Amino acid sequence: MRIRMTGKKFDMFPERSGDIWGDDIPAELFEPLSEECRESDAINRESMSYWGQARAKMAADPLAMAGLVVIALMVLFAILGPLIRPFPYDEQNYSAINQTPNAEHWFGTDKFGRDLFVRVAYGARISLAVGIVAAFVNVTIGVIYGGVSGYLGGTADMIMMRIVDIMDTIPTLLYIILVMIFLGSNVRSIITALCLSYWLNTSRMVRAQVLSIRTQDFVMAARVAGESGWRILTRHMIPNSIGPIIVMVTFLIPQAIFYEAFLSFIGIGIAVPVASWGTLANDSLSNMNMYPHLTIFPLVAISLTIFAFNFVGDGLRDALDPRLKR
Amino acid sequence: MNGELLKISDLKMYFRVRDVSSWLGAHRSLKAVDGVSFGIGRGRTFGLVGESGCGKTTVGRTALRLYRPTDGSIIFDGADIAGLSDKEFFPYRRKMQMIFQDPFTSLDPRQTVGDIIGTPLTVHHLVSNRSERAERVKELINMVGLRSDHIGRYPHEFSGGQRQRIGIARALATMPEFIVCDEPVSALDVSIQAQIINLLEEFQEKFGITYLFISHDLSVVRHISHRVGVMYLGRLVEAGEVNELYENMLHPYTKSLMSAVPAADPEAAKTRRRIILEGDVPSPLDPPSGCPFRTRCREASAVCAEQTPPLVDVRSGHMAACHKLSIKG
Amino acid sequence: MSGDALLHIKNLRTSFLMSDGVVQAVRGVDLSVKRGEFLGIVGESGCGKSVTMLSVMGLLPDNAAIKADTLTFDGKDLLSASPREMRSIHGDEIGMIFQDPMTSLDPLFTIGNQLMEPLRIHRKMSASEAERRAAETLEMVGISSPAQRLKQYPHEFSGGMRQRVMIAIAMSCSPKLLIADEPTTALDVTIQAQILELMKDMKEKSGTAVVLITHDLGVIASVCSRVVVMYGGLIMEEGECGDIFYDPLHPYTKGLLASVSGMGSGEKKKLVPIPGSPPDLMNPPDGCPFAARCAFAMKICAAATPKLTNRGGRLAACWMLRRKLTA
Repeated sequence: MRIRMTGKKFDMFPERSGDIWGDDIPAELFEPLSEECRESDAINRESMSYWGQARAKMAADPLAMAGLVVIALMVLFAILGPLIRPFPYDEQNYSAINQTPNAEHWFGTDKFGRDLFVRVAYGARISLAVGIVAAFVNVTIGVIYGGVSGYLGGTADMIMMRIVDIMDTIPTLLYIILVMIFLGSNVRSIITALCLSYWLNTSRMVRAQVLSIRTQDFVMAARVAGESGWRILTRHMIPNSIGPIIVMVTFLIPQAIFYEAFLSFIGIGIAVPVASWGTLANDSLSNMNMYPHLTIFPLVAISLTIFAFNFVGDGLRDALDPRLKR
Repeated sequence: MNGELLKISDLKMYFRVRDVSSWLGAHRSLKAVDGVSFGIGRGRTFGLVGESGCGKTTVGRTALRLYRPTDGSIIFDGADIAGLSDKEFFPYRRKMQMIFQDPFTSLDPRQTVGDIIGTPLTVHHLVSNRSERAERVKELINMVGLRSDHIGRYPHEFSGGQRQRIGIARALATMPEFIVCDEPVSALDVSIQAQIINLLEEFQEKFGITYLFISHDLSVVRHISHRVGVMYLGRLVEAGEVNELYENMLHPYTKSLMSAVPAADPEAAKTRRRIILEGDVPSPLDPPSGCPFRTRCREASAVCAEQTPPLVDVRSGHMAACHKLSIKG
Repeated sequence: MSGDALLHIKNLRTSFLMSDGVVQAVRGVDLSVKRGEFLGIVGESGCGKSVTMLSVMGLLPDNAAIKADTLTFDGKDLLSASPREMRSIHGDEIGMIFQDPMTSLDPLFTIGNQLMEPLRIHRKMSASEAERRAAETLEMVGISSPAQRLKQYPHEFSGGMRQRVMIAIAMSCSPKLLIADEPTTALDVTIQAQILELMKDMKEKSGTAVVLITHDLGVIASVCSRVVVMYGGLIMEEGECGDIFYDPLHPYTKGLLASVSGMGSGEKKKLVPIPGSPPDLMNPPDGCPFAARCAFAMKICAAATPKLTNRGGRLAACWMLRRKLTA
């Protein structure tokens, strides 16, 4: 019986050597076995670090690899898109309005004659920037806050976690509207607003992670060895909790992208004429029946990107999950 | 015998636990170790036996100052280390090491074997540069019977017995005088247990290391120890030189514990009469008054519920804590 | 021989698919369990002793595959049995006890619920009938005031008590076979002694065949009548309890006994361990799995796997038996 998994075929019941001799076994086979055949402590498997194993598992996951390719293409599109076409994103051209995709305007033009290809590429810049910056700022704050809270434990942990609980009672939308009032409708304020609320969950998760690692024997072993608190935190706790944190980042990025698109779509995010996928979708709404391409291109871009990040996140979770390791 | 390396007197270790039945979240104290005293001679092994939850592991960890004891003294090499701050205790870390029970969780999965064994060397500045450290790690790994080409590998690539050897190499790295072995073989298969025991004995002979050997396995303890203590519910109920204790058991708990161990001998199993204890070990949160063993003891009388029997020297160093003995004596 | 066999296994192989290869946990096991016998399967972790019995029960995880020439229980072919037929055998004709008494009971249901369920399903008993029978079984496993205990939840029981309840559940339908997988490993020695005594007692009273899986030779010696020794996914030796302990044929059995017998005796002597480590069943060695650690290994041992050979009514898989015959 053969079972196929991750592209490799395994023989579930390989043939066993033996039963090959009948009654007349050559006498020399009963001579003592040489010493080198008795090395049972040798390890025959290839040595692989945690990261090496993770990389191999990622490479064997077609969906995650496809996701990575899509993300790479999206990044290239964001960087090169506006450079390879001769149209600035905000240049209005009333001689070429509402064109369907053609040789000159690959994605067509909008009601002001602006080139949609360039505008979607600009939207990619904004979305990717929002997603990546928000995720990283969040994780930085969350890891430090949650890590310190879990590491200190006791009363400090109690107070720090109650602060998180209180902050969590304020809806994210409220944060965003307040920040928009003070900083204006731009990319920076969206990132700031997202960072203000998203780190709460991150810090909770990191705290739980640190608490579970703190009780592991190898942390006690590090104390017995005389390692300092700082050394234990940086050499043992963080390396052992980094896997789940990376997975969390990859899931936070599409969430942030989605949030930005949603806010811009309902009109409290990025203001025109700056192009974001959300504003593009919103702009196209009035003429959606006549010019569906204006809606389709930004929507496909949003979906593809979010799908891609989620696939990569799933792949990373499988690859970095300590329970799946033998 | 040239004096005692470690002397523990009236050691108490209480943990504060949240009382779940109380609305106000009051704390109760769990008396994990409640007045334990014993000494270990230099270069000798003291075996501490008892069932799960009896406090034997806590004694070991407190002796290494992983916990700050509630009360009592721990004299190591003439100095009381019970009240030292972490910083003051740091120089002792080098001299006092530990071998853990579970070889699968006691090695950091993200570090190579070389890093695991080399860390104590770096932390205590026992080597001055990388090549010296690599040399010493190689020496240590060969000492425990593993090969030099194992140094770059990760813990998960090894079997349980091999991992325990790595744990021993780490404990030996700083050339300690004293090692707490906390159930070092109970997670291992029998054929591997003997390898590890032999290794520990070999290092004791070679380097004169003193062991506190904690185990629930009475036969392993008998093999490796010079002196043995039996714990029950946070107290030492009996202690003595190994052969004296195993051959002339005094405390009823020790007797029933010994008789419960199944021997790998079917004929003996047929003929032997077992003392089967009724019931379970009481919770250390709510220990019985007086003698902790009285709820399961067949010989318990009224005095056992009133007074806690002290650990008394019954015959030349063989001590036991039981009212029956003091009444007779 | 196979006439009175309750469970008959021939050439059982079980493999697990892992992310980086195939682990061959059981690599060709022949085993018969007779009616009413107390059989012990002993071996170290990863030798395939638990997997063998889990394969019989069809309780393997999804990444496992099994293959066998014969697998019959009480005349029924288990290989072709549907999941429905397997369920009617579980808990009725075969009872099972697991290692961890803390997790094998459902915390959301009372002990009574869990005891009565198999009786109502398999024996179609009425509620009051099942309750009476459940109380009887609890009393049989030495739990006092059973009527009140039936209304309690698992968390109100200690580890030893839970294992008693597990035995009561497994025995409630008077199964023909009871499989006990390391039933005392998680318990303290004083509690272990209670449970072993109880199992022996139950077997005497009910005539159920018991298969006890353990790594502890002492446990085997105190209760079993026949012993199977496994190593590296294969049976190394099989025989009466006394023969195995006092006159072992296989070098592995000898090594196993030598590594425990040195301990626990008064005089201080150096232990004789088995050198090296057990084989990696993802890349099992050619030939005998024990060859690399065996003091008597010959060239043939590393080349071909020895079959269980009958010698004077005793079975062992070792080329040394063949050498003595041919020489």
